[in-house]
Amino acid sequence: MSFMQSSFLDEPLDPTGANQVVCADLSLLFTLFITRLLEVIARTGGKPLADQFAQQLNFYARQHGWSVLTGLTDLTELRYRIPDVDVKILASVYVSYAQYAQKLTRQILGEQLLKSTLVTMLTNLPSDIAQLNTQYGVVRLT
Amino acid sequence: MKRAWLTPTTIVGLLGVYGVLYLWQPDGAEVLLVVTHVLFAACALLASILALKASGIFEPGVASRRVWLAFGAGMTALTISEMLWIVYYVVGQPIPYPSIVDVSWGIGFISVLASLVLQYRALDVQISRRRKLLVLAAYLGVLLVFLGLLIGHILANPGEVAVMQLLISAYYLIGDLGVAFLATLTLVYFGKGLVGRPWRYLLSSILLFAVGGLAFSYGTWTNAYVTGSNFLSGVADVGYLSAYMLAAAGGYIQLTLRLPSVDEE
Repeated sequence: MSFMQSSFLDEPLDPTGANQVVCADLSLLFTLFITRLLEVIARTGGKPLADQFAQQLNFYARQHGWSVLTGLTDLTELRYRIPDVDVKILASVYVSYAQYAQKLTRQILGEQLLKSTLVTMLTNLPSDIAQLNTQYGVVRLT
Repeated sequence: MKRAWLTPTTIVGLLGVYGVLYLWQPDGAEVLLVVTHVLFAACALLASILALKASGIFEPGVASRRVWLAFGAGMTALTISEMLWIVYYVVGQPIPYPSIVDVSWGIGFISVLASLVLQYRALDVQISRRRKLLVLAAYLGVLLVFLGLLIGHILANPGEVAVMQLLISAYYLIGDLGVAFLATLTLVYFGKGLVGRPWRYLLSSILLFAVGGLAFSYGTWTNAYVTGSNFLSGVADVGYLSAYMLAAAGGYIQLTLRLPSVDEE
């Protein structure tokens, strides 16, 4: 299953289809965000620290109902499957997880490196995903 | 996280033991001299091993891997230099100036300094102009004070200091402080971040090399540097020893960086 494919469909979608498209794009945004953080942590603190970050984020997700809400075992499964749930619920889940990831990254990288990482990431987002981020506020600079 | 105090406490404890030995000298000044240089070599070797091991936790191609490799290579050269000094001492040969000991130390130190510059460049440190200027002013102030003292001493004692020695000392001082300036900017950028911890030790190490180097240079010019004989020699020896220890601690901290577990938050 592809994340991007659904965004380029021109034909009108039924509400279920539209929900799935936004879920896919939100999942893409969240995956890009986590991947970017993992890259920077691995680059500055080493791979073991990045692995710990991923583990801790997964632990947080498990504790906060990821499997119950989405039916996926952990966050890594996002690479292969898109959760099919109400977009508002999924957005609030990603907002919460992203805030936790940011809090954790702030401890690892410090405020300034985190901020510059986020600015670079947000600047390079595809326009439709950037728009989605503005709408749902998954990745925030503050 | 819970044992963040352990490394500095161990370093302070070891330096305390060395300080007591330095003052007490139970087996005389000669033994203290050998113990001092064996400790230099052992700590430099430890720093070298830990730095090279630390490079392994970064993926190939990542700048931090090269940073730690350069630091480890530099420390290896310093280890060789310290070991060569011991060899000269054991065979009873006088050490000329400059000798292979000085050359290998000089080469090693370039690599150590280069690693800190590389780290600064790789991070693309972005801090405000005001902060940069503040740090620069602090380092320039220190540099001017020390250079003023050196020049004052030379003018007061013409002919005592060889030009070669003066140039080498100035090179180390400017190199040390220049790199310490960049390392300080890196640390300011990291702020309270976990990844800045090893660099606090490495920056302290560079600053102590500068202190030890200055005391050693001044002591050599004035013929006052004799291990265990006076305060100035103590500053040089303790400066170098603590610099090597802190370099080793930097590698150790990098290798053992851990996130606080959920229940520790």
